[in-house]
Amino acid sequence: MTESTIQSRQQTQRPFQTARALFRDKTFLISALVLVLIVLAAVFAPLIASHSPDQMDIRARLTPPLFFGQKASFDHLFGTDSLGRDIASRILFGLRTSIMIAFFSVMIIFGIGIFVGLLSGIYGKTVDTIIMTMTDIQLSLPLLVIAVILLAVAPPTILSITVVLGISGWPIYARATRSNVLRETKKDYILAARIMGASSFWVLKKYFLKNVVLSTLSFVVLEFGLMIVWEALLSFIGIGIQPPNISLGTIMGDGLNYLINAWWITTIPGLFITVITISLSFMSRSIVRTLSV
Amino acid sequence: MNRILLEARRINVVRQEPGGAEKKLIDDLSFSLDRGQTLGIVGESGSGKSILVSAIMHILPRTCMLKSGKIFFEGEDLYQIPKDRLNTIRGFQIAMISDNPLEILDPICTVEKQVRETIMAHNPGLSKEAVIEKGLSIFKSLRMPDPEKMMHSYPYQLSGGMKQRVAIALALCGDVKLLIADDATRSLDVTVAAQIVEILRKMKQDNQLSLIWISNSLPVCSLLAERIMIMYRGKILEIGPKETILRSPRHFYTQKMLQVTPKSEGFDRDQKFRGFRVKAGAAAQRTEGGCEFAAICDHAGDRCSASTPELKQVGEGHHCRCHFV
Amino acid sequence: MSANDIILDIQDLYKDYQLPRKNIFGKPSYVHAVQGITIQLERGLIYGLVGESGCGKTTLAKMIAGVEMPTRGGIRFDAEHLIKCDTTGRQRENSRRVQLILQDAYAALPPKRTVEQILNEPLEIHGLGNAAERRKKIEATLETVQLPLSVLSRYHHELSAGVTQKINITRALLLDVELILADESISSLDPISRIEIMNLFLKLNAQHNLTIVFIAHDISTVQFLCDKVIVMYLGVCVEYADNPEIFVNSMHPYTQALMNAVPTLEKGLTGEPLYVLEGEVPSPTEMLPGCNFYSRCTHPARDEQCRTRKPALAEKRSGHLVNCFKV
Repeated sequence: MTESTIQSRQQTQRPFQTARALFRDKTFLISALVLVLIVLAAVFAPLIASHSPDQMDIRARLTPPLFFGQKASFDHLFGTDSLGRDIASRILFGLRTSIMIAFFSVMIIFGIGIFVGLLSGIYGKTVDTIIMTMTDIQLSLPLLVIAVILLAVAPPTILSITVVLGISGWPIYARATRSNVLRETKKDYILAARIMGASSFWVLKKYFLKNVVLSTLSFVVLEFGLMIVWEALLSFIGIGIQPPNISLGTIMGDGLNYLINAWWITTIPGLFITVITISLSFMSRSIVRTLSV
Repeated sequence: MNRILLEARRINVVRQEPGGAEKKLIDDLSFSLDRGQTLGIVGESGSGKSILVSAIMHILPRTCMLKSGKIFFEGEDLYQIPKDRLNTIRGFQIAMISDNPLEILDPICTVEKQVRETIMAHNPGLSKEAVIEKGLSIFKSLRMPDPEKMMHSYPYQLSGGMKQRVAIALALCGDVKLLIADDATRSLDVTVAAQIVEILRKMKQDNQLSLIWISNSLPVCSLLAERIMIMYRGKILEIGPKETILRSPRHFYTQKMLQVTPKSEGFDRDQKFRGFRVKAGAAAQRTEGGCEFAAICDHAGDRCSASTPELKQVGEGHHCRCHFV
Repeated sequence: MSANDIILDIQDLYKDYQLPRKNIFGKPSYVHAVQGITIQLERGLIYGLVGESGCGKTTLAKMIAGVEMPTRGGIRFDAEHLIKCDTTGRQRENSRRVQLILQDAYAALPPKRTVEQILNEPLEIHGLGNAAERRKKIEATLETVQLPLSVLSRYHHELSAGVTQKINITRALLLDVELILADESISSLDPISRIEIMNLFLKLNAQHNLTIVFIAHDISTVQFLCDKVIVMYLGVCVEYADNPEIFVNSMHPYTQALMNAVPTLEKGLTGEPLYVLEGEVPSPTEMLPGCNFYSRCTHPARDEQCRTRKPALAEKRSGHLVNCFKV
């Protein structure tokens, strides 16, 4: 029996290799570790916090954080605010809210964004036009305006803030996914699948789902950081989380009047936000580098 | 003037594989090309013919390098001369067209802009009118149907044949002595390819142009070449004058290729052609130490897998690499 | 004439593509890819469809495969079913019986999937068999095309062009096709692989009575393979005849030009110039009043009639149809 010569041209990176490569990346590991610690701290806040976040202690008001003044003590690691509440404990509880809002809004953004983008790209003309018009309308209204309007109408809750952030974020990813899909559908192998009788749904499921999800992974990570910042911003200027609820933004807002003599109230939560976003940024870069979908 | 235009002496080109290993792309290859002569190179994909072109033009990709050997153009060692000197040779005296003219043409420039830039690069002192004049005259000599309209077009507006003609025109802007055509007619329709071939034939006759004419098909190669070189996996298997190679080839690979080529009287359908086969037990990897071709040769014997045959002279200007000659 | 039944009945087929308009007020312009084809193909034969870029052969193939909708006219498969294409370009009814093999062997296979995964796809789409049955079928088909089982675990971009094209053919065969259209399937292969694929087609035709439409721009490849040859130019069929007849007695000036432009060893040895058909294919955006080949025709009897009226495909010799006034 005659056989054909099969010549190997170049090796492919098998899929499992790339996941392992990710874990070998030191930057990724360190960033991930930092994030995991922060999240765990937030999760176990009631157990770890030294004080109740609402506990006021007027005598200890405006205590500086450790090593920063004579009044500092181990009792208040990050100092206290104007009402004597322990900043460290407030941050721990505030992280819970902030992370929750960021997490769920990211889920909304990508859930809706990718779903809509896939539909738009694969089902062609009419569906595409309808969806794209919706995204255009959405994109033309800046987040802040929507937030202000919506939150003026209804009192801001964790749920409503999450929804607002989610709704304003999805159009961009819908567009990106759609252009990804449009580009791929022009390729020969999609035509070949259609010739074989594959439905659009099958093509979506088989060829696009995994690829799209993997390629947006790096953006999911970045978007999470962005949502943390947005929530903090909204709460900071007062149209986000309202007291007595706590988030990183509200703590920062509390310290607005004390920037000069009690800088730690605003700065330390801000530092947390910075650390979170930088870690996420590094993770995103590592993902892009190693996964290269 | 020295008769030899281009000479490659025992060149070895290797590629760095991830993991540190070196893969030999061209193995101890030597040939020479006289002024005004055309050398045809035939080989399948992977034979190394495109890498050879890159080596001659000194544009090897970063992962590859000329490990040993020399390439001389008009007596100058292309890998030893200073960069400025190389830049006056490459693109000016040695030019290249490939099977994908889109690679050469800038998609966002009009043809005129590109021709103008190229001519000005070669002739710095020329005025704008003179440059355009020269461009048009080159186009006319290439029998372009509508030179002025062509000048104002963008590459995407041109058909494949037109693009290839523009690529040839760009290649001829300088004082070209050697034109390398790497599978230049592969992506073209048969009638358009015929046009290009005839244009090149005329160039050869009028300008004493030397040509390296590369293809994966013997008949295409034989249209313009005086000498033909058969390459396989980085080595020359056979080289000789066109008539000898086409009428009485010695290497089994060449013979097989001739069997599968269109002849005027057509194929006999009842004649059973066999492709190549892998011998039982032979891996698809390269055989270490033996003849490269042994893995798929119908006539291979023990000596073939044991030692690599040398390129031996078997006739006037005719060499063959096989244990059986 | 053989008594084979008609597998494909193409009647007065037209296909226009609309080009994007230059501005909102501009008139729409069309590419007239196929301009009136009427032809019947018999089951069990190998057909050659020859023509150069812009002749509409790929469009015709796509319409037969059911992934493009004709503008006018229709194609009947096996005397009953009108080939239809749904709005998303998917071949509805006949995907198991008609398959099209695309030119770029690598691009036609999905990236980042092993050959085994790729070969399972057609069976999955049509819900055929369980895992064991599929495996058996895949192995049997691989044996038919003479590919070793070791190819299943590889990625197609690692494999040679010839092998990859065989995988494309395997994929089509898995659906038990009756008609295969091969669009320039061997143009980008080296000569040895070409012969292998052509031999494979011959075998499939002989052993499985597979009807094959072999599309090429190089008329010399169809000489070996095809029983009958159809020559197309600018959307119309210019000549249609049996294999030796069309090469020995080609009548249409375009067919003759095609033949004379093919490089052969004899021409290489004698050094005689190739016949050059001057000019380029006219733009298919204009429907010409007369014969589509008028502008490049060098027939001595070419005249006003050729320029102003369209010739029709007529039988000039037994079984040999030519679309020309002057032959």
